[in-house]
Amino acid sequence: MLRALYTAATGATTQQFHMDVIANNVANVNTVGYKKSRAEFQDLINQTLSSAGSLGTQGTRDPIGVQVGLGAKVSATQRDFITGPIMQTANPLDLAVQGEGFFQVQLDSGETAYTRDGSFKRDANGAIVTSDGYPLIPNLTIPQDTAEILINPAGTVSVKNGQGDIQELGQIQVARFSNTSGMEAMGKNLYLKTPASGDPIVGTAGQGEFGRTTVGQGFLENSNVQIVEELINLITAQRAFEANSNVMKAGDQMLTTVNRIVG
Amino acid sequence: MLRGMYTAAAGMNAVQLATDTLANNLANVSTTGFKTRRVQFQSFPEMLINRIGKETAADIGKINSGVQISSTPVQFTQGTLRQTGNNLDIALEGDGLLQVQLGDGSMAYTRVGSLTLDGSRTLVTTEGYTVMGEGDNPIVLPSGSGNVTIYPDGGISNDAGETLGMIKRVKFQNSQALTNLGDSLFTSEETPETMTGGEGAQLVQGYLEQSNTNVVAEMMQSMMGLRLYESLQKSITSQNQTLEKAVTEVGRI
Repeated sequence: MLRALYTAATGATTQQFHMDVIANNVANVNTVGYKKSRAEFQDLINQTLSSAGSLGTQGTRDPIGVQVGLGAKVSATQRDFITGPIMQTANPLDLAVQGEGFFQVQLDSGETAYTRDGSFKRDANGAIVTSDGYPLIPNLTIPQDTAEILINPAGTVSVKNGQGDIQELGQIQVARFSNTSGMEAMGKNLYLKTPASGDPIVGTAGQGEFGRTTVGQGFLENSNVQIVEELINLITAQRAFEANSNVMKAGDQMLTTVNRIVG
Repeated sequence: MLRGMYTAAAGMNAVQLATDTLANNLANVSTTGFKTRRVQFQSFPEMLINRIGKETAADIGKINSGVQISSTPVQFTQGTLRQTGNNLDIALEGDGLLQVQLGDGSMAYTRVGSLTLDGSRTLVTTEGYTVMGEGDNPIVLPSGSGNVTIYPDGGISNDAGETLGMIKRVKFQNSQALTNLGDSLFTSEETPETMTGGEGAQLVQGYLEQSNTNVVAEMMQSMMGLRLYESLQKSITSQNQTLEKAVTEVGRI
């Protein structure tokens, strides 16, 4: 049968996947710390019907062969870790990492997860946790009599009590990876390390590796999804899907034509 | 039997392959760095035809008995550049390719510039193929390089302006004859020429080269192919009717 039908099917399937990725980006346009994904495509293997340099009909060598490609596939979903717009909030436990770096949180399994979502909360015991209740690493507990929480750009957490005494609680550290795009998204704005991402490099904002990183108190990093860009992607994905479906229709008509020979 | 039937059938086969090719071009309309293939047709070799009868076997003339696909050259026309803002996305502008090393150590060539770093901070494509630098060495960006700048000639430097490596750009004499390996990779038996400075393809950082598929042209081809296919079918049908007459009616006399 026609290769074109199957080729168009792979094209339509990849465009469908493209739509899925776009839909997820658009759905997360207001998700704090969300990083947009980009679908990447590659062509499939090419069938070689005659290779370049094979003997031509007149005894000459063909300079160019005959190859026909068999479609497209999704090769990767690349996450784009560029910083999203930073917005001000009034909450003292809202933190934004400016520059490279992730906050570290502890999962129930004891594993460390990494996040750019710095909307931290206090739990019943005063521990700093994420919105889902995962404790921040290092574990910090805000005393009961705290009047004000102070976090400096390096991530040092101090508290001021009713009498105006300042006590230093600890240091929030940030982590980075040699290949950030290789991290695995586990949902809930959390990322996990993988063999592709490499091991985390942990440090303090403003020092050494993290010389350009600062922690902003009272700020949150919004989603880095750009809605206009996504809608343009949506249009192209939809039209490309249509083009592929038209090829299927043409292929179908060709087969109908063939059947008419013996009509 | 009637020659024309085989001629028409050869035409239909050729149109089928042309449709397969344009289906692939359209399926890859969103594939970064994809290059379309064009189908080139050629007629079957001419043959001499003679009059029937031994004594008077004079030549009538020559006839072609069909069409076949002679080659499917890769069209290395420039694709549109799309801004991504990603520091390690590079688009090639102009004639040339990047060189990558496959898992088995062999070399391949690609126009896809969506690069990333692997766990050991080596510059790789998103499929994990190592990008070749000068002297066919991999490029390692040391930890703490910050925001790297990639120059049009392939040079990579860090924030402080120190050179970290040089991305190799190559060019083939006969780029149309490149063999497609899939995964947007090409190979060739020809050894490519390495480009330096302002020669050949220039790298543009923060952009990706889109597929060079022209949807309108491909759709046009598809419609024309379909109609050609139909007329060839009609030709077979009418020749079939001629044969039918020859076999059933002439035979009756």
